[in-house]
Amino acid sequence: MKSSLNLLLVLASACSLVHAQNDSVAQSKAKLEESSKALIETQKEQADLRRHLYKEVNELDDQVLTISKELRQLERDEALRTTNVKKLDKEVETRKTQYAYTVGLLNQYSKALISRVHPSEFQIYREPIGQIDQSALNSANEPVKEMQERLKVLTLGIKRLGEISGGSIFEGKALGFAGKSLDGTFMIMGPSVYFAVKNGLSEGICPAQDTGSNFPAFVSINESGGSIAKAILTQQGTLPFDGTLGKAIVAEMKHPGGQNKALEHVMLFGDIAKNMMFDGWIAIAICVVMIAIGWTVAARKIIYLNSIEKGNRDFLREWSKVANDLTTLERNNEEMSSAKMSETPAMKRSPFYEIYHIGSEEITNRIASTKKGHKGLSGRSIQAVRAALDSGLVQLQHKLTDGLVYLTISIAGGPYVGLLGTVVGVMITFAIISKEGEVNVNAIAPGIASALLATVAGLIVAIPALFVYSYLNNRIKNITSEVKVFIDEFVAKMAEFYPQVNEASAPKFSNNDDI
Amino acid sequence: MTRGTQISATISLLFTLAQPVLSQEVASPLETTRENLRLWLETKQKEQLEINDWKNDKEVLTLYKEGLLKEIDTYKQQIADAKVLASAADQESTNKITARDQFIAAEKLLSEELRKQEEQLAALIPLLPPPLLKAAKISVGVESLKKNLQLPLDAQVDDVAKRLANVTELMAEAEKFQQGVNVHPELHKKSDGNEYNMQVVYFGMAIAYAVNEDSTFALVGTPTPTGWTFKESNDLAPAIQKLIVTATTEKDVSFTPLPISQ
Repeated sequence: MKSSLNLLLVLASACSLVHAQNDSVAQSKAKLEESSKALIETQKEQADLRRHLYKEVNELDDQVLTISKELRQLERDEALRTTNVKKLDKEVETRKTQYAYTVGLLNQYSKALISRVHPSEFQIYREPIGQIDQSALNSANEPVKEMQERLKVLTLGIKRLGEISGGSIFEGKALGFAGKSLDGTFMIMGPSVYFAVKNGLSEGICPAQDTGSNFPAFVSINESGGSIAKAILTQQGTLPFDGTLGKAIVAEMKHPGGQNKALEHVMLFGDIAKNMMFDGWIAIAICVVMIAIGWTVAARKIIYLNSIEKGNRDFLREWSKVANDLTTLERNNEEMSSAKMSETPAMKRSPFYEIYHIGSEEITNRIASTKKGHKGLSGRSIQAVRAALDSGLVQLQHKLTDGLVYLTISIAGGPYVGLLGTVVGVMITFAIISKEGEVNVNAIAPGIASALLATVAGLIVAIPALFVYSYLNNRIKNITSEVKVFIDEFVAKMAEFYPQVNEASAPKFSNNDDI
Repeated sequence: MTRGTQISATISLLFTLAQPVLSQEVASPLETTRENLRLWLETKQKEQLEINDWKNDKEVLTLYKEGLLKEIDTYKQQIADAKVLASAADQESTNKITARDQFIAAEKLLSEELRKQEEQLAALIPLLPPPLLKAAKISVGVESLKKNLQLPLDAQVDDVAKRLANVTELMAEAEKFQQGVNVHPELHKKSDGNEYNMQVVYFGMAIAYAVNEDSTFALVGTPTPTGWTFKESNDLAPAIQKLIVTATTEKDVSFTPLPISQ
């Protein structure tokens, strides 16, 4: 049983085993199926997801490709465009250069034209050319407009060439004396430009120098005698031609109407004085003081000598009346004089008069001191009277030569003072040149010329002073000699009329009853 | 121990226990089960592998996708930049083309206007004094001017700049001549048929006076549309001689009165 049971158990077990096996097969099969299904589902799901993702990726890839293609195209376009731009750039640059060159040519011609026209033509061409330049500058960003403006200069230049050929005439203004604006007519004959003032009162030439204004200077030519105005008016007749391209005009400007050339030299002193240094002015100031003193002394001395010479002449005229009767001096001197001589104020300044009075006084005094009845003079008395007269002469000489020392100082000192000024001036000029390191005759010349002006001033002091001194000295010598002669004559007369006491028997009288 | 391992161990134990007991017909379910289990296992492994593969693939693809998106963004940015650049470049090109066209127009204008100026200047050539026309610069310039005028505007040999330079140079030389007193030796015929070497003094382009060496033959020259004409005026010979001496030596600086018409 047990065994059966066991068997049964075994069988049961076997059956159960079989059932179990069958169940497990079924279960495993189910599981397998389930797992297979799951696998398939998973595979499907993943395939779907993968496909989707791949699709997305592929789409993106396509998109990338498309975009990259587009980018490449853009890059190619850019490269092409860059090439084209470079090419265009080059072309623009070339054209710009050529344009700038042509505009530059016209601009250069414009500037050259205004520098080549005569100053009288400024009033015709300066303003239009300036306007053209300004308009061209304002249109600098518009090549066509700028070119249009610039080309106007060429038109203007060609028009001018046509006009100046054979001479041209136009109305305008010129600047006369002191910059006075004059209306008139110009005639351009090559480099020579003639001008006739509107009222016909003046005519002349316009030099080529720029006055800084739009109008030329006008130099009147007096010798032309209306020929310029006539030539301008009728385009016939004669014109004064200057073959030296302006030098004749310059000469005319310097000496209008044949002005003295010496005046030009004198005027140069003004230019020289402008460069004078302080030390030079000191020397010149000293010279001026010397001139003033010297010439004052000389003037006063000449006046003095003239007055005493006039007095001498008056005295000598009266002297003949009393010369033969000196005994009248015994009486009252003044009464006698007034009775015998008509005294003038000029006569009183005469040295003869002074000498005469000295002698007369001495004689009177000496006769008065002798015994009554004795009208003679001893030898000693005569010598004493002579000594008194000589003393008077010496005083007279002092008066005559008084102040002449200033002229002597001017003669001797003037050149030295001037020379000192010159030497100092030259010294300073060279010192300045060495300091500046400039070796240029134009830098040296004004300084030297100014320095030499001091020497000129010194000589101007000395030379006239020398002449005046010689002249005055000669006159003084003559006067002194005449006085000496007068003294000798006076003494001789005195010895004659007042003989020594032993010799004199009786005084001699003249035939003149009044004395 | 994993669940799979436990299942595998259980299945193996069952097969070991059942084998001696079961007959041929009994072994078959086991086999089947085993087979099923093996297959299930395989399936599960495959599923796992699939899951793992997908995971990897997804990761890779996602990264790739992200890369592509970034690339697209970059490209888009580059395209946008390129388009902006292209637009600017187009504008620049347009400007340059405009500038070029303006220069072309200016050149065309210059060429056309210059032609008119050349024609006017050519008409003035006879008015230029003979010594000026004989000068090397001027003679070459005049020849070039005439050549240019013979050809139509679109068939010019010289470019416009060269033509303009030629015109301005001719004018400049004439203007310079106008500024001076020019003395030149020239041969002139007298009314008796003899030819003399004469000194001719030109006052710019206005008038000229000529005299021979011994002051027996004198001429007054003036410009005409056909060229300079000289008229005999022998009575002026001494004055002209003086003028020439003044002009050449600058001695005796003074004005010389001379007639301006004969």
